[in-house]
Amino acid sequence: MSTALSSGPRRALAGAAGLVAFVLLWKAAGTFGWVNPGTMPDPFAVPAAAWDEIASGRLLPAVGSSMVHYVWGLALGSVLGVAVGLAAATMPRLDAAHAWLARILRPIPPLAWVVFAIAWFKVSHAGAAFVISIGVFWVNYFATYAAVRNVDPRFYELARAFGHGGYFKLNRSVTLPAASPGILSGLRTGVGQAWMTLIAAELLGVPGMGQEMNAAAGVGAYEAVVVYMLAISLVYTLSDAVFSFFEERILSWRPS
Amino acid sequence: MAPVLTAKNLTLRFPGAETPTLRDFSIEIERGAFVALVGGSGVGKSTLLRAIAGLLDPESGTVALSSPERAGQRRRAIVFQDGRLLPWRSLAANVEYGLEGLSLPAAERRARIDEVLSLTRLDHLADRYPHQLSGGQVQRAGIARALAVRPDVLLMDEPFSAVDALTRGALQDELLRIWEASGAAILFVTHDIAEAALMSQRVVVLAGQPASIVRDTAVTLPLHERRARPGFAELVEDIQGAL
Repeated sequence: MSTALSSGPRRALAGAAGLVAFVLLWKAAGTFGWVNPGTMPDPFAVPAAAWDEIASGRLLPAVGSSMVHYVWGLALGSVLGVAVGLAAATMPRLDAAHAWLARILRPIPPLAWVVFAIAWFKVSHAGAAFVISIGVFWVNYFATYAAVRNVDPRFYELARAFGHGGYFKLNRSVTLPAASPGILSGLRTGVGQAWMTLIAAELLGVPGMGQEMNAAAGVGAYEAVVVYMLAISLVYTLSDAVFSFFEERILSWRPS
Repeated sequence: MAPVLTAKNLTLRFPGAETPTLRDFSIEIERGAFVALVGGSGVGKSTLLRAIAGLLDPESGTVALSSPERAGQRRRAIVFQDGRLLPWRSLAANVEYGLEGLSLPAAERRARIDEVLSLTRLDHLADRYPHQLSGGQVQRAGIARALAVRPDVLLMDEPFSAVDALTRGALQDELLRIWEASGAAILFVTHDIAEAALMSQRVVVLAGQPASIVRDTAVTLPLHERRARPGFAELVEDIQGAL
């Protein structure tokens, strides 16, 4: 792009201006009574609310607690999703045998499982992790399945020509590296998907940002709700940045 | 000279096709020979080469190699039209891929990689990824990978058809040099008659449906600078006539 806006500093300036405009519009909505003032948080009061949440010792433990079931749910869903997707895409019998089951289970929203999460795990990290893992599982399952199915068959011919055989050996030397861009993009989507489910999963009462948010909303502390929303955004941005750092390293062989 | 590879009465048919692509094809390739297999597009040259490479089963007929496989060797090695490097491996690692199917000690592997990379003049590019290589370099890398397994026969499937004319001429010279240095026999599939006449000791022409050998000509012109020799144009014309 050759427009002036594509250059770094100008773009940053435009981004900042957009942000400021949004905050002013938000402020105006409350000040001029465009919406019910009782339900509209004041953006200028958010920093103080953030300090309050930190100083009172609620924010950081909530982030920590959310991270526990986030990490477990994400890890479980990712590992199982990739493993089942790979197995289904490479074993025709398993593929046929599981096709109907996958079609039935897939449309069930992860949050519908909250009922069983409570029944099986009570109100615990495990329950929340279970619910989170379901959403992550499907994302990774489909991404891996499609990526493996799309591996160029000419690579398998090459493997045969040079005496590479055996299911596990072929997976390691051809299938996984060839499918890695698709698998990694599934994993990355999962990192985001887990956050989407997390807050709702915590509504079952597991301590974390979702629960704090719910508690704040209950007493009408909408500025505090915004603080938790922003905290989620920040943690997501950090985890996505960490992921893309590793993704770039792993896929360094690709033309940029 | 004893044949190093013998194909006998090969008949090939695509699944579901009424007529076979190729019927009753037989050929003997002598040790160290350079044989070109010429034919129009769609005549089944690549399919035949795959059958000879053992990558596809013929409907009938046999492919036999005369010498037993030595340790650390693959008797047949194929060079693909598209080069077919694994994009996630460096050039050296692609060459190594050919060796991973053989149980070689690490030092021997290393030595073989160095040897074929220097033979194909790619040593300075060993750490590059395929997308960082030119079309000609990719083809030379495919040749290096095949040579690393010390084959008796190198099977080449229109290896230079995807590169520009200038690169092509250079690769042809390069291949002749490599052939003379390696001692492997080459079965070289091409649709380009001049290329076949320029490089090989023998030109086998495939035509018809199902295809069969319509011409099998020994080329006696001295190997280098053939283009300028009297008789070259006539040879090309003569082969053209058979198609």
